[in-house]
Amino acid sequence: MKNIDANLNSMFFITLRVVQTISLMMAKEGIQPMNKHTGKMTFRVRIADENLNFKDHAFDDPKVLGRQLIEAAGGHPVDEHVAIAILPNGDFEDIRLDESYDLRGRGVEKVLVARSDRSFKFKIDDADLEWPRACISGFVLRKLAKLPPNYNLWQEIPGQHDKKITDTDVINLADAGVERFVSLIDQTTEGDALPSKDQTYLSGHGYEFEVVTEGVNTGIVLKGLPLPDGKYEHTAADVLILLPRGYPDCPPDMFYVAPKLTLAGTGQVPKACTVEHRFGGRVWQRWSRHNNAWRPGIDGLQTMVARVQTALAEAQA
Amino acid sequence: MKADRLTLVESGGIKKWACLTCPGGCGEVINLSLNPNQRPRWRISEDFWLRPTIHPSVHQKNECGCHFWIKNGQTTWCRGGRPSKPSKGEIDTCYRGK
Ligand SMILES: [Zn+2]
Repeated sequence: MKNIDANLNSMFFITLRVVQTISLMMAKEGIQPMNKHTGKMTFRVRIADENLNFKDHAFDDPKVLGRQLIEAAGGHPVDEHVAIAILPNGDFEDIRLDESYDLRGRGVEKVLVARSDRSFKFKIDDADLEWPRACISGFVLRKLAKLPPNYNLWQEIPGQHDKKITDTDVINLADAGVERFVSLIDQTTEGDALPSKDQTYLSGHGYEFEVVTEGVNTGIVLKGLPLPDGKYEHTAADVLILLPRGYPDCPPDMFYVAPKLTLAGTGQVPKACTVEHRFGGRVWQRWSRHNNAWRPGIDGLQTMVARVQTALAEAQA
Repeated sequence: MKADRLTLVESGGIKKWACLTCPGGCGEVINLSLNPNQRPRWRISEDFWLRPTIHPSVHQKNECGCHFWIKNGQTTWCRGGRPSKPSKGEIDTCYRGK
């Protein structure tokens, strides 16, 4: 008895499996078992316009001509349009106007129809893609590449920096050299611009500071630094220290002050402080005080702040 | 101790990418863009022994979550940025054209 039960169970299991496989195949190939009105098998295909808006269309036959697809999508005149099959792996394949194309045979999921007289070929990672227009948006590129949201798309530019493509960027595929895009997972951010030793020093000594970047330059702004009593026509000022490439192994050089400081009483500008410098949307007074004794690995902002304090205390006209 | 490698991708004399295996030990490859005109971005310099210095620090947003500086080929962990199984390698630079 037990044996027969087991056999029945496994047979039932097999039948179930077969049914599932068939329905999966149908779904994959877009076949709907029967059209209620005509009694025929129909073949469903999703056709996109050039904004990649998809609409479902039904054909009686999985073999269609390029022109049938274009007509179904409302493309007129037909010979000024192209139909491009989008394969399951994301690759593209042209469908010529009078080519009888078996959508089922290649497992085509979607077709793109757009007005065009030529198409532009490019690569995203390893996939060969084409687009019927010279211009394409970053948004459409992302969609074509099926990029998950945590990936960024980059345009690879030989001999120049690669460019990160945002959704609203418009890329001209007709430009020479626009042919390669790569996707990279976006999981890395810039951390602090200031070594943690410096952060600890500044916070620990009660300095209010801000890290400001402009172009490739990074600057530390010490906010509202109190000035020596009665020495200047201001009682406090912001101090800017520009961090050189290679900091903290390379020393910061001069420092900068805003607003412009003049000596109390005489109104004179301190020696070697006449040059203006623009940074972070502000105009700074440059204090030409150079640094000759920097010990890499030892010195840091504490050394620089001490130099600033000394220079401010000793300034003469 | 086996040294880790940081690969510098150059094209036409321009340093485009600095790529390294995450020193946090998660095995992910970290690609740092050196393009100065967009964010995020990093700068790289090397000393005589090709030991790289990267500025600013590198912070991983993935599960690894490590946060570190690379200075003269040495990684130092930022406060709270030390992963559970960090690698201890020293880093030097190798070059790749593109
Ligand atoms: Zn990691």
